[in-house]
Amino acid sequence: MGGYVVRRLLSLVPVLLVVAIVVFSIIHLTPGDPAAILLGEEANKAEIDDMKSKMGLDKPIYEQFGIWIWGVLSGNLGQSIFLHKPVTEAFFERLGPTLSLTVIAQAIGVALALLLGITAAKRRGTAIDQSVMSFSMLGISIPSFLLGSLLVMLFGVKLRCLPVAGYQPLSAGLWPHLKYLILPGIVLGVIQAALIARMTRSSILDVLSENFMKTAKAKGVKEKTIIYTHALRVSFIPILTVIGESFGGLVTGAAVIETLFNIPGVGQLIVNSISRRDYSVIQGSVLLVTVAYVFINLIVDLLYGLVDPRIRLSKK
Amino acid sequence: MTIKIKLALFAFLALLLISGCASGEQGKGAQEGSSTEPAPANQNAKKGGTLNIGYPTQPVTLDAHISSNTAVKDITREIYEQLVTLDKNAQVIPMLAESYEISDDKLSYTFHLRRGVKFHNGKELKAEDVVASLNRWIRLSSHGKANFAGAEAKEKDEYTVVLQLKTPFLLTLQLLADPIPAAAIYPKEVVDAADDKGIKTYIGTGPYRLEEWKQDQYIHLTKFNDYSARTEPSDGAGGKKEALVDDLYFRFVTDESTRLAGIASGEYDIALNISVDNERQIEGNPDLQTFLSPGGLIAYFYNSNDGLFRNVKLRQAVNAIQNADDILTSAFRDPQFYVKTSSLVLPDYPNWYSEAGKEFYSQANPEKAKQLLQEAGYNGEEVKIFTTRDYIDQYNVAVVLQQELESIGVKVKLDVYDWPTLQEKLAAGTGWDIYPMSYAFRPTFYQYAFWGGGAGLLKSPELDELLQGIRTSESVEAARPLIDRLQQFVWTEVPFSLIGHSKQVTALSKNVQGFQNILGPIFWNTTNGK
Repeated sequence: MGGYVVRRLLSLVPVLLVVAIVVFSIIHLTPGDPAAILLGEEANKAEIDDMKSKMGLDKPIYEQFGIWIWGVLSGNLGQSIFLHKPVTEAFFERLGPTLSLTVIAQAIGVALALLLGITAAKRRGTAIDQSVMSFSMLGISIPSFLLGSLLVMLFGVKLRCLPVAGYQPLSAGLWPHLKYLILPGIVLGVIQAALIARMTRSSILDVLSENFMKTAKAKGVKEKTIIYTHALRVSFIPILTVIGESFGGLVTGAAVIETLFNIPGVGQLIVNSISRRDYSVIQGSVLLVTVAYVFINLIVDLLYGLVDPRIRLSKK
Repeated sequence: MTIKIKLALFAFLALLLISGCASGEQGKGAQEGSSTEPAPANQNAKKGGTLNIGYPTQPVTLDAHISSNTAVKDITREIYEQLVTLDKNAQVIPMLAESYEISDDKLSYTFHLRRGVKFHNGKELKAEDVVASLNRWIRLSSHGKANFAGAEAKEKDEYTVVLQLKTPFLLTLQLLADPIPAAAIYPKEVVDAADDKGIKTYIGTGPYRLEEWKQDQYIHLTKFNDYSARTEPSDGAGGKKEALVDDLYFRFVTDESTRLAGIASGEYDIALNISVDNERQIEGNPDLQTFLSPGGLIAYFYNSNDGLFRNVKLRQAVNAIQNADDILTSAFRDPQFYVKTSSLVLPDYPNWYSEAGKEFYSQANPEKAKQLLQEAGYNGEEVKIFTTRDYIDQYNVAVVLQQELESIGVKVKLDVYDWPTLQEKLAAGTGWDIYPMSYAFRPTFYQYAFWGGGAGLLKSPELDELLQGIRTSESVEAARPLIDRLQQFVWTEVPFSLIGHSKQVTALSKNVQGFQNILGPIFWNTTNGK
């Protein structure tokens, strides 16, 4: 198992190298540059060129890449042009809000999904099953910004239960922290739930038709025990995969929802940095996000073994 | 077990909703309470409290000298002050200067500073601070580089500064008073510690000082208790300035629908940059009010240096088909949101307003346009219009222009980019023919940045001569014939086709009083009765 983990971590190196090259080239080939943004809407070309050379952006692109990648190798992701702080610091500042949001969204999503998926599987073919599946279809297809705006209209503007946007750190208290994350958490949660519920339903149905399930039933095991202890555990591998993937997606930044709800998370940092052309932040954040994504997938793979002893990785 | 889980889940959700809604009800009650009170009279407006401003973008820096970014201007002008500023009619009045004199040869401007003015760090404002700041502004700002080459500020005594020019310049005071890019006065130490990419600490003499800048979330300004106000009554951006609320929060909310939801729910007291389409939501809400102020000039600019539109006949053809009413209503919905005029400057500023050449404005004449196309030898070549959706009025103008051109048989391609990309494509100077662009409102047309470096702008000795003539005029009265001639030139040589002037829409809570917009929003002398 230790060897497996090491191998997986080593495989990160080429992935990161490819990501670094691709991100660097895309950003630097995209028109627009931080000098023009800094000088404002009405700056002319001469002023922009002047500022570019002060920022070191007039050097040949391979030289800039060399400088950057050398910094990365020595553990320095660079300095943000607009935030006046190191990229790593800017990134980890934003990780907190994103993690909080992810945990809330994922909790809502998984709870809702298991409830719906299992109900649908138990009542297969009935009106309940149909309506659960229609709900999940709706959840998958509704754009997150639309659902977000509708919820804001209802809870933020009409009922005024919850703030429409913004963020408070956990240090400001649990409720102030939570109340800003409930609406975005619900939006992301519902979308996750839709996906996971479908997966739960179909994989439980698969398992239910297995022979050992019939045996259990014939032995007189209660239906609840069959579903929750036997069926759910066996069918959990595909569900876990979906959960892992959606968790990865959330941690690496729910850009649209973070922008709509003005949550200073990783997604918003990347989006804002792109519109500011803050090169080092975009490059550094994408690298860190890649690392995070690979790690989450690794953890999910390791969890398989815990859920299903048949695929303990250490045996290989 | 399932029942337990279900119960726990429902209990959790119910708890969240109940506790949330309960606190919401209280908030709502309080708000209803305040709205039943008689409208607060101006003389007795409530002091203190907080103003939450839903602001569309984060400033790229808080160094007012280097950037012409709107967010930089709007926020820094609360923190820093200038020697002179603009009254409500955009006339120059003293601010940090007690008074000023101009020499007979118009080459030296002497400023006598007010005494006892304190910076936010407690230090008193002296001539050395002004000298350091002005010289940096001359060296780094777009105004300074374009208009003050060779000029230098010198200390005469502790409270007197002389600005020595190389050549007379009619708009010297106007530009020193312009908030963008502002000739802000920093302490000398701040200037000494700064590099060309920006100052390191943000210290001014303004009524508000910087408390905290939480990146991508908010900038928090607090009342500066030792602020030394002028004694004259408030007038525009000048006169007596007072921080009537204790805390100002500029909350950066890029999404317009979020800003709207925020002001409707009472989280923000002011929301900036509301589009005219969404203004209906403000109008329909009894808790809110709409505030209109001059927005900017909108025009489409031709690439007069490269490609088809080097031919003046072709520019005149496109100008002849222009129907300003169609374009303005499509971009700005209702006449209350725009001003239809052929003049580069609004009628409210009579010194620079000119009707010369207005017969060529909004002709909406397809026959003439077709005739001109023929004379220009137009032969079905593709005309490329470049635009961006980041500024929706520019995009709307581009779409109407495309339709108008197609109606007279011109082949048009519309290319849409994000703003930074558009800027770079235009600056390349080739590959495009027309772009609509808006420029923030200016009280004199000399100040529009496009003269100095608008992409593709016609290069013409006559134009240079006119601008130079205005520059070196003795007075605005002496410049008057040139102002008219330049306006005429714009309509006959058509370096661009002016469409009109837009209004800027700001949404205010009914509790907000005293808010003004003088080349951008200003928040001192503003109260929040909430």
